[in-house]
Amino acid sequence: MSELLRCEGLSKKYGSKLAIDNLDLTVSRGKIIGLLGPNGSGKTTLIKLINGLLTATDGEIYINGEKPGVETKKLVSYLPDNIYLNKWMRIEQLIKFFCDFYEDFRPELAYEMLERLGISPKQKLKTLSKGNKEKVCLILVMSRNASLYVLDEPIAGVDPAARDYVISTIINNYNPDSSVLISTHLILDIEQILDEAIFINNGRIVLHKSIDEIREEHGMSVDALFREVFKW
Amino acid sequence: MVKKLFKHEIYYYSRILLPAFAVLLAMAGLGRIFQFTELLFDADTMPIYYLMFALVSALLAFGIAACAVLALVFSIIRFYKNLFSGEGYLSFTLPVSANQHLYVKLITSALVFFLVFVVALIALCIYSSGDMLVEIVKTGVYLLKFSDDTMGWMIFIYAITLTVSIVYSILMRYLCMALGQLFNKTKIVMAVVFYIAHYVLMQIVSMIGSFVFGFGLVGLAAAFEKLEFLDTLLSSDWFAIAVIALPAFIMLLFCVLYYFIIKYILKNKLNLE
Repeated sequence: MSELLRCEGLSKKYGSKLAIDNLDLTVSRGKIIGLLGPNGSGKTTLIKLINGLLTATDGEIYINGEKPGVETKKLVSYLPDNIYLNKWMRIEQLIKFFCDFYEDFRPELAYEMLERLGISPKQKLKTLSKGNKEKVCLILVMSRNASLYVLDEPIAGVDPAARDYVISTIINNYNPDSSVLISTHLILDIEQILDEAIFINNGRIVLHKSIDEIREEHGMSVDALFREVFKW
Repeated sequence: MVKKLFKHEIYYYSRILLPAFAVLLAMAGLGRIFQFTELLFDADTMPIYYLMFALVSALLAFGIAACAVLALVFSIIRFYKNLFSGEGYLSFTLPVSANQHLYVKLITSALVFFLVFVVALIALCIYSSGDMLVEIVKTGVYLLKFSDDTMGWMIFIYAITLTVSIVYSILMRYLCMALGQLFNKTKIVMAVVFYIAHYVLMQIVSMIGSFVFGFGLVGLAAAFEKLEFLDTLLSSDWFAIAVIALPAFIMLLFCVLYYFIIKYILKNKLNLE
């Protein structure tokens, strides 16, 4: 089955506000996909719905043919847009925690990446700088051999040099049979690694094309097209 | 997975409560050592010894209360932070069901309360050089040996009531937090509102229940002219057991109801906005 993720008629309401509006989406295997949209467009809500952290008002989500649940959580590696790990834990304890719960976790890879960054596994998460905390989160998420990586704003809070590290971490550690869904509005930084781009606005998908198609059909980069589509 | 959840849950509590228990036991030990200084005081200075003895005893009582409060506070913090705050992003993306999260948290929290009770008992035994434990055991043996058949049942029902009320109080707090998280911007405020509303409602219901039960019983006896039967009934030990068991049974029913509501919310209405 080449189809990894499918959303059918997906809607999510917060009170009277429609955050996701009857959205249909299919993600196939082996792709790096940019989920791009302005602030408040519904990117994070969609990601949370995929991870079962919010419940849809309407519609269905299928991951590898199954609705979000225990089995799909074994397949999805999720990086939220905030520091979500226990800050009182040491990094080595967090690695053990991930080892305990995720069969596909590769501790040796996590230790190797930490060593390259010069972060001691003995350190408590709360003693790290914001940038390093985010890197540790990314290392843990990318150390899984998951089928689908869902990364919410992985480069938003780090400096340009660190962005290169984050991007290379993503490219070097994902399995070619897996897919990576990256939400961001820093398009220029990730454009070179994307296979496909999804533009989302007001909870609806306004464009879903491969990067080659965008360049051929529109004669411009993804970043330029984004600026044109979402021009004020 | 359940074993691993228990492991991490126990680790969380142990890093907070073990030092607290150690301090409490050390306080009890020091209190016991202090009692040996009685020999150093004469008749004139004995009031000072009694004053200090009262102070040390009060300190120990405060330590026991502090451990109980600590267990209560961390039971609430653990449930809320681990499931409904930023940590919830991790908890709910683990390959673990909502039901497993719930019963692991419930059992661990209940065990922690029992542990506080046991440690407090040990501390009191240390403080009283074990005299208290000997007295408790002697009284227990005496009651079981020389009282009638109902005493064993009475103790059993009390133990069950205590267990059920601990589980009930934990589930009640969990329910309020689970309901509170349904609101986007005021999760904690709404949890507190639900807790107060629930408490007031239960007080009213139990008061009405007691009146209906009491007056109903007297009314029925009067209607059927069986007041002497009512007299016999009220003086019966089995009636006393039934009066204790009934609220425990009702609480148990509420526990089941609350458990399924919380499980439903965690599974179908999770709102980690």
